[in-house]
Amino acid sequence: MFEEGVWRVALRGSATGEAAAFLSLVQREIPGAYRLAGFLLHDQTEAEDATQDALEKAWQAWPRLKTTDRFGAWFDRIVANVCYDRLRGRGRVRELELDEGFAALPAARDPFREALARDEIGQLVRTLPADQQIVVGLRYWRDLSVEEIAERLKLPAGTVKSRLHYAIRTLRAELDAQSRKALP
Amino acid sequence: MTLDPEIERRLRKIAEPPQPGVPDSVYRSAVQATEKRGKGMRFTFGRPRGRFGAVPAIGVALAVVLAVSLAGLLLSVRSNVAGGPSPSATASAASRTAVTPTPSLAETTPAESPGPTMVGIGFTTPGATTGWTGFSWTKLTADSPMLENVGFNPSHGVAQVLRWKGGFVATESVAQSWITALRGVSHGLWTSPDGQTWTAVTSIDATDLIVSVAPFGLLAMAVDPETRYPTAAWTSTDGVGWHKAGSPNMTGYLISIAGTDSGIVATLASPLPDSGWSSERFKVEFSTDGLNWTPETAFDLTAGTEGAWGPHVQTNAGRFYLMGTPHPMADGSNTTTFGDEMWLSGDGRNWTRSSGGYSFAADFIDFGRDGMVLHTIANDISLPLAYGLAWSADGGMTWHDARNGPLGAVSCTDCVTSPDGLISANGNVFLAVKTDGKKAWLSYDGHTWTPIAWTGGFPALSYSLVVMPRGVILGDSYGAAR
Repeated sequence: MFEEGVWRVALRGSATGEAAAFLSLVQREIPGAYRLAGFLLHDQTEAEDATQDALEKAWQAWPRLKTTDRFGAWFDRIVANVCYDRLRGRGRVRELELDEGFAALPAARDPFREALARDEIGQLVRTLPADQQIVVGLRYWRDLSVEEIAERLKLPAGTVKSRLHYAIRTLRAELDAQSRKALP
Repeated sequence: MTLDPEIERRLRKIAEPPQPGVPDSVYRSAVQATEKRGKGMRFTFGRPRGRFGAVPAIGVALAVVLAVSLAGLLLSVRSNVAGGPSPSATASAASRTAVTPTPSLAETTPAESPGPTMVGIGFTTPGATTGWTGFSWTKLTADSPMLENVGFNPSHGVAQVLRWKGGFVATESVAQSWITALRGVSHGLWTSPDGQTWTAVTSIDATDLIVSVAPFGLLAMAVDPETRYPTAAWTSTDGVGWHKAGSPNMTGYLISIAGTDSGIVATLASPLPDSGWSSERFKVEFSTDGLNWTPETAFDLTAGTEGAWGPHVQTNAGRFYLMGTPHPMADGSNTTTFGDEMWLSGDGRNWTRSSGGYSFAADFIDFGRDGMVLHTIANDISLPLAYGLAWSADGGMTWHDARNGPLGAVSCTDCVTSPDGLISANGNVFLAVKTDGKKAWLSYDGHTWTPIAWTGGFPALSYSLVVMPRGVILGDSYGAAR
């Protein structure tokens, strides 16, 4: 007869206490943050790097967080800032030919590039200024309201609206231009 | 606010499901991020708030000076995460930091009996098996396989012991975490006939293992280091010789595995079609040989988002215990795998639901001679540090809420439900150690606790208490029972 027994170490997690609190909150935000970064940066590896950057910044800033009630918004803001810095670092992409853009893609499959390729507008977003890309990403890919975006970016709602307005107007113009180019 | 319906529709189309899944590496990076500050020692380091509780602050200067100069001796506690704004990180940490020097064990308690020694890459753990009245402490050498890797993740060192007919099996674990991707996998494996002399198993050419008791003896399931899908099963009848049995027909990420002489039960997770890992379905499977697995049909397991806790199985005294926690659905609503429930089985096939009776969700069980202690956890974002305890004296059929057991609650504002210390057991005796290292209790049923001499302190940066057959491992020290 077997005498089975399992003793479990009283180890709640790989981290405890303060780190545990941070991780328990941030783990729920990671999927949304990672996907926002991926859609904005158009690249899985960059999305991972950006999310990791955001996590490090969040952990460094954690002692200054006044309340955990709005942790998600707080973390979103960090992610948005990280993405913004990366987008600005790239410079604004202009005159991107869609075919060229896709032709230049490496052979390895990238889930974000595949998702962005569902519609040509996914590529056109890259032609926008970084601050407009951020509000577009938060609005349509993170599915946040104007007010929620304003809270995250610490901007007046009117500013968010105007950025969205200009972004959509630019995208419309680019699409129309693409359509005209496609005509024989 | 509608700007251009067509443009907006087309933008939203980009993010429609299926969405890219989140790689495990991203979750790991979250843990690694917390590690950096722990190692940097510029903020709070060591054991902050939470289940380790708080100790009185003694000021900015002392905190900073001690933090830098007395590494390994200090505890620091941030008592209130919702505290006021701080002008700088250092000041913030210091203003909320409580520091208590913890004397090194070697200084205060010279070993009274032969300490643990290395035997090849094995080790010995001397001490009494019964009638514990106290402990004789020895500081572990840096190369001891018993030594917990101080810090966060990965956490090495002996972390779990199984008892079986041939003696004992000790495993090393990289982590036990609520983040599914990080739940424990062993890199080290030792067997012992007497609980004192431990011999390393070197004949298994796999680095990531999950070990369980099985009808034929012991089963070591090798898993892919990245995906955690099972890749090979190793079996042993004596704990010494191991045989590579083949590849199990399991499909999914292995969460837990446990067995008795009746069979083996495993819990797994696998992604839902086209979801990447953004949604996953949990499974419970049964086997008698470790290779051929069949699904348990008793459970209608729901899907959840990544990061959710899957169901977890343990065994004791021939009985299986299966428990799960609520977890969020992809749409943000909450659902459950088993609810806050626990299911029991004598054969791994027919299951009976326990009566519950505890707060929060069942996490894992410690087993003792006359009872068991259930560790519960609130998977609630508003209670990020809510842990509790429950005890049972009837084999887990009915449970009684014990909340914090003998440890009392930690005193910080947003973690009031957590026990202030650690509780663990070795299948016979339970041991509870208060965070300040000044009090400890012994119990055989998990409900009636008796104070026990505890001169071992509570080593800084210690996150685990392992009750071995003849003593305890706590942080960087081994306490031989006497």
